[in-house]
Amino acid sequence: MTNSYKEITEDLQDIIEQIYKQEEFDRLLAYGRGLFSGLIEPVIVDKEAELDLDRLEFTDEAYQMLSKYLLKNRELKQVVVAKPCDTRAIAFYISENIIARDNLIVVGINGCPGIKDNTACDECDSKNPVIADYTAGNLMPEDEFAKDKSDLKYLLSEENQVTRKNHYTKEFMRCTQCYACRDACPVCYCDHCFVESNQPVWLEAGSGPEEDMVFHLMRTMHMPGRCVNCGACEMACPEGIEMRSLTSHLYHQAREYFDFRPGLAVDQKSLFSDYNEEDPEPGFLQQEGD
Amino acid sequence: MKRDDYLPEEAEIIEVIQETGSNLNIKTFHLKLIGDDPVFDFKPGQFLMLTVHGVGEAPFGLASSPSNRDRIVISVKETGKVTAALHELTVGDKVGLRGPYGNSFPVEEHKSQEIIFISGGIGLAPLRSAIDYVLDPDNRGDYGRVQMLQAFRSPEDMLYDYDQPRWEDAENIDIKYTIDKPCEDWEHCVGFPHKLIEDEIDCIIEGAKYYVCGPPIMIKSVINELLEIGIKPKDIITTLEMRMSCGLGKCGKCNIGHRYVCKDGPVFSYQELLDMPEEF
Amino acid sequence: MRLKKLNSEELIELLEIFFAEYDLIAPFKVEQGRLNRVLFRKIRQNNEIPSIYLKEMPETTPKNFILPRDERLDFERFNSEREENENSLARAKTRLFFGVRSCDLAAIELFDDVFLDEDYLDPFYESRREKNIFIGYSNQILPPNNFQKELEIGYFDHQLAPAFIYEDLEARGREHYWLKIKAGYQFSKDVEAHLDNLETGEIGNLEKLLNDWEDKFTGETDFEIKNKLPFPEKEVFNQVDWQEPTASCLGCGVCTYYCPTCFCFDFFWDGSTKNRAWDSCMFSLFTEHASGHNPREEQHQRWRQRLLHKFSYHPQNYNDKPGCVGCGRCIYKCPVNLDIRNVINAVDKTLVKGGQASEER
Repeated sequence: MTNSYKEITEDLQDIIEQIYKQEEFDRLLAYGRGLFSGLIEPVIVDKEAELDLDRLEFTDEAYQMLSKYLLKNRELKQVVVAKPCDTRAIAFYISENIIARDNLIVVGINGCPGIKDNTACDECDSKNPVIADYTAGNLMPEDEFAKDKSDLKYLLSEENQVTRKNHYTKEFMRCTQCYACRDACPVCYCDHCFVESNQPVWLEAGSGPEEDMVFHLMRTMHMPGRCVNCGACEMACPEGIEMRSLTSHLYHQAREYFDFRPGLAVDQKSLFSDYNEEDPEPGFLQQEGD
Repeated sequence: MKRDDYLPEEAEIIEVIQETGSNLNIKTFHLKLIGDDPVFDFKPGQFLMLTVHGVGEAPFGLASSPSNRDRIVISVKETGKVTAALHELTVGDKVGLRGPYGNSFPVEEHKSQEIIFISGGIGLAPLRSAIDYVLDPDNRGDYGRVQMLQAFRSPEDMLYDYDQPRWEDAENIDIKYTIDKPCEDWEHCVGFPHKLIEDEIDCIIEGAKYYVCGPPIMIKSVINELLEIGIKPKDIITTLEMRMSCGLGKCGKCNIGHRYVCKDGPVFSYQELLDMPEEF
Repeated sequence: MRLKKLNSEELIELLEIFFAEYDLIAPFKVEQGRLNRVLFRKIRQNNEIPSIYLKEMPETTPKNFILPRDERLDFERFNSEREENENSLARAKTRLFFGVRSCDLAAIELFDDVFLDEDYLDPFYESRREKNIFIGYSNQILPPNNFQKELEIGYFDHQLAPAFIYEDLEARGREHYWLKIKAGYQFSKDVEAHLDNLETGEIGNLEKLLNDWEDKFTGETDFEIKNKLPFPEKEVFNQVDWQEPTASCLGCGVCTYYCPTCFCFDFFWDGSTKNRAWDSCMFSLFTEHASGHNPREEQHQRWRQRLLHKFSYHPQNYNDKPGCVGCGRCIYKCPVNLDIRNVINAVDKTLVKGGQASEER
């Protein structure tokens, strides 16, 4: 059993009305329906601006990660409607001192019924918010993510290197280097991305398969210990590239080897700053037969 | 010969002059076209697109006198990928050239007037071409008194020390130099140029024209000061810099409002800028 | 003008003849990741023809072929061939784009204004623009988020297309497709011979059909542009609140990459060859000087550029023609569904308010 989108929407409207009445804040981040498009879009408004509460909605099309927008105006006090995966990104920001807890009023969505076409929701391991000041919908039992990783065929972990390389070369052929995956990703927040660096140049201009591969692999390398497996990258990709298979692979690896999932608590240590002598040492450094 | 293409022509570096110390690192390059027709015709204020082979292309204001048509001079500050690669090159190396592009300083219209050049740092480079034009013996009689206020960060950052004596010796000319902060053995002005205009320049001349060039912030403050003392917007001339790719008004980068800096500029009067959105 | 009626089989036969005569480029439906997309593709084999997919508006347009995302500027080849042949980089075969929407044809016309300008004729564009035939397409489905009507671009014809095909999705048999060939236009001999065998349609019937479609489209959207184009640049630049309607922009540039009218480009070098690639005003690097100074630091300033380029600067430079054809792709391709109509609306409201204020005075 899950919450209905309608119930969540009604709860959200009530909560936000209440927040307008009793809370001090600067800006609201929520979902609403586009005036002309009828599509669900982020609604980002200052407190003083006019807002039609009835416009706010939560549906299975609310795929955008509102947590990402918090980063634009960290100095403001912001109210944010957050899916459970958003709350994990938010907890991660707080653990990394990227944003102050006091500057946030988190309206979490309990028992998130999921997002249409987002494959990450099929392997979701956070159905409820990890951090919230208000919640909409009813709490749902967290069905432990018990899937055998071998069910996740897209991870290609069983395939050999050549097959994998061919697969990704073909997949990345479509990449237009818009970097929407990076821009939509809540935990891609470097002040200066290697993509935009011109001294040194990491990525040559143009769109050859090598550049595409460099971009996606470099982004992947930055993801373990950060990726909350929300699927925003794939939802944003205008070319339907399945790049989540790389980041999710590392997400599941970190969980399997180190019992680590980013953004579970605001005081969580990061994957790379926490060490235990018993930690396994998987990876390419380990020769076969060791 | 086609000079209106995306295709650069080959040119050779015939002289490299280290202008300033390592903190600003400006070099002046003298170039010569290699093709059948080495003549490069341009007007003061125009710019060219220079290609460092295999690295990239960037716009540079022409600093040479338009009357010397077989030596192309540009001064280059090392700031990015292309300029860094260009600074590595030396006499005999080849580069690509396209141009000249853009409009020019209205020196023809300003005949018989007094002209005042105000420069900040490497902003002197595009003005050099207008200065040399006005001071050219063939043209000198067409213009009134010439004044200059040249601003640099420090004495080591001064440009064209080989030109300055020649300019100082020209007829009916008054040159002032200024640096940002006081330092030993400096006998000239100190302070930002906009603070010095009123005291150091003889401004109350009807019809005098002000040619201002430098970093965006310097241009803005100098123009504000000039307006403050009652100079008319149409008498203030400046040249703008924008990132650009084609130089022909196609690539869509260098526009300010509906006008393209590469095609409708880079030289604008402040009167024109007033009608344009402030986005430079 | 000639009008022919076709059924599905006859259309396929006609396309087979086209394929024999021309390089045939048409839309196909493909599945890529989570997306079902309709993309223009060059046809390589006869048996691909039945899979041509016309019903929905394609995501791509002939732009991808005429001003490709990434092209090598091969000056040597270009110059030598230009000397030999006045037609420059002459392709052996004419390209035939089948199933192009009227808004996308308007976009090509806009490119022509820019790149075939008398001030500077872009030789690379010119060479790709030569030897193309466009066959337009329309049906009774209004493409999602389309607002071309507001920009006065008709759905059922465009001067760049010598022929237009209309598909009545509800009809069967020979009433299914209508092929309109404009007066004076002749296809190659084989195609003409084939056309001769097709049944002639009644123009009145087609007109009635198109009027019905037009009526159906009317009133489907609340959007209108109240102010005349071009928008007054200085006023709009300064007075509109650009931040509020663009606050959700991620800065990815998808809107510009899938826009049929966006043409801004950059040069880059690959070894010793010069290349041209699409660039986007939505990127921070687009206007960043080497010194680090950037006239457009913030995303809302980049949005202002994009909107005003299309609705103020371009029309000022090119006979009041908007730099947007209202196809709607930027809206449905946007990863956060940011709707350009909301931004136009913000401009409209500001101008209306300003106008009222001055009247009161």
